[in-house]
Amino acid sequence: VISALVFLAHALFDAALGWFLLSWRNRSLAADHLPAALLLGMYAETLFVGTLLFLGVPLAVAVVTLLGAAALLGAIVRRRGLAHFPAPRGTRPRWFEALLLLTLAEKIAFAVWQLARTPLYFDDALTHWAGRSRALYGAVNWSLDPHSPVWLGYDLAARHYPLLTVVWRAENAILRGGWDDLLARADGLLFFLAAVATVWLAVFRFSHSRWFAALAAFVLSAAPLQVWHAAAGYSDIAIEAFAVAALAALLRQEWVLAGVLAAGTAWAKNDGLVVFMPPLLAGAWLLQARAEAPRWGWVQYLLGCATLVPWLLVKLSLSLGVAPNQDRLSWHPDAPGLFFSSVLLGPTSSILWLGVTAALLYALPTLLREPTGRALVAILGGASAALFFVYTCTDSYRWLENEGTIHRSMLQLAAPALVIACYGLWRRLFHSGSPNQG
Amino acid sequence: MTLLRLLLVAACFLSAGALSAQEGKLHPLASNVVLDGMIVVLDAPEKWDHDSETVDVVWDSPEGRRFLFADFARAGRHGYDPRAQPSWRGSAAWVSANTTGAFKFPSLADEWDIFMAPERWRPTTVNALRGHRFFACSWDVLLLLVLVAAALAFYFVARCAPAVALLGGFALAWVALDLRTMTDHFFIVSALEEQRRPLPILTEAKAFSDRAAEVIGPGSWALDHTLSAHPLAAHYFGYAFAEHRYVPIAQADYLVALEPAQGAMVWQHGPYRLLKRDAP
Repeated sequence: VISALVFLAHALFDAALGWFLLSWRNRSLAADHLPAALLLGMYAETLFVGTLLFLGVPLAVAVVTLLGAAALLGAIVRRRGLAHFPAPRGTRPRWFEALLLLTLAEKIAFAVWQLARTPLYFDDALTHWAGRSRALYGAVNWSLDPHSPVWLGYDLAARHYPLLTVVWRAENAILRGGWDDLLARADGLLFFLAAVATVWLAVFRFSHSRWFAALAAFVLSAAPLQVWHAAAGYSDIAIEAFAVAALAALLRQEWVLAGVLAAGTAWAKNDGLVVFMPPLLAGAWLLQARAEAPRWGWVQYLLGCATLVPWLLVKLSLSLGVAPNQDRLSWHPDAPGLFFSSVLLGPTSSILWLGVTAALLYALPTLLREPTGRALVAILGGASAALFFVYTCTDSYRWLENEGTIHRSMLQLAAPALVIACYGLWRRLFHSGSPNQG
Repeated sequence: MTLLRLLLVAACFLSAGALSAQEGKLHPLASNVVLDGMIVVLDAPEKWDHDSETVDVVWDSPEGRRFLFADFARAGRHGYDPRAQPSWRGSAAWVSANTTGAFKFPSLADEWDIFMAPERWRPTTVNALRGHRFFACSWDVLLLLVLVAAALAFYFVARCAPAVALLGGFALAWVALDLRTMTDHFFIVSALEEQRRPLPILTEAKAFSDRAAEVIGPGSWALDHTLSAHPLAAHYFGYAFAEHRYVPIAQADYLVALEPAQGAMVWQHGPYRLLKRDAP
């Protein structure tokens, strides 16, 4: 119970921190900003503490410094004027929304049951994510000396992986005064909810259709692998949440926020540097071509991305690479067939990717006719091409062949792809004033 | 019959370790049969189910080529579906299994029973799911049929535009998928809560490490090379002992090992041993 309370308090702290940061530039925030505020708070907090750690500050001191800095920020923002919290409008849920909430409650209950009743179980969580986090919290197995056997955690874990979830979980243990398996992975539930909420609100923002937005949120939440990752302790679902939040911010033309959230994908896992940051950058460039976009939107976006510089400098100075096994390039001719059989027709994503592909092919002519559509096609096309290249032309092919990571990579892309497919479908099907709209 | 069983046992020993459970105790199911469209119905003890053991079906083609089908055992009498396996075609000289049962043409009840075989919680579940089969077809391919059927209904009955009808079909197929997924969740929770079923592989590692962490205390530890045979357990120990000082093997006060090694054993659970070593 104490762990659950610490977890909830930590999540609320991050949402408040993110809200303060958003209020700095924007006083008219909406419900869309709630999941973005949570993710922004988690990113800012862990990057701040992580930077202090790399400067040699002990974790507990870094956490106290963070609390002081957050209190100062809160005081300043309150003096400048805090954005109003979006009050519920009091509209009753329609039947399809009630059903969605019911199915969502089942997913949350299953994830909470896993958190409460089972030990940490899955391999990468034991090593790279919760394992390193526990080593950081315990302090005896964490060193910044590259010659130490416990350099950035012991040698069971990948040292070049970034630290968002690692730091967040270690902070949980500091606040709790001890480690447990709930705090070691409960953040997955936050990322799951943030991704579903972002899809729901982003689709509603451009469609103004409650049923269409609810359908999109349902499709994401019911994708079979999602709920497992809500309690697995991996960082793939964190990437998904940050990527879709960055995309939604781009659609709202909130350039700095979009850049920061795009940087969050790379602070969650190295995949973000390869799969999401370049296509989102290209998408921001194309979105700027819209007539109503500000002239310097792309530069603002880059400024948001630049918040990742401390981690990139650490990577550079410690020669931490991006991936351990991609030193050979070679085409694997059976890879496209494996993509088809395991991703498009396999049970892990079921028919999600067939549906997304069909929707995009149907909507492509419409999307290519407008700047926003072209930007979205560039984002999804770029991310898909990056994934396809990684799995067909590098040593990562083996993780496609044995289905070791391919579905997790597709999970990272699922929420952004769903928003883009929904945007295309909406423009093609209903935008021209169909009576079905609304 | 005894002669046949002896021959099968000898043949399976010669087939070099393909069987994973109850090796050697084969029960004949059929001989000189056509495999196409057939399934097996097998009796599995509850312990096999709890321990994530497999039922194994072995058969020889008329040319003498041997094949194996394995699936997770379900307590009681249940249908198992080798029809997706390409080698389950044509004739078989004999079919046997590592438990009693029957070789039969599936009834509707058998098909439903196979469809309701639950998703298993395994170390690989976080990477990929096993999925379900119904009428010898992948559930996900069947969902495409649901999609098309629902879309046709929307198009002809509700007079929707074709694209809207397809969208509605997709939504209904996704609802069907979610209902089946929720059934899996229910089974997993009830299996672990009511039947006290352990999570595969790590149960003994967790029980071992809970006590071993207390013993290690402020001392240092390392993993013995023998643990490379149990990589998931080794990773679990790395996590469980992360707050205790980790050092190279030569300097460790305590060694976590699978087999007897240098040092005095101070704690053992299952196959895992904690060895106290003399001061390095």
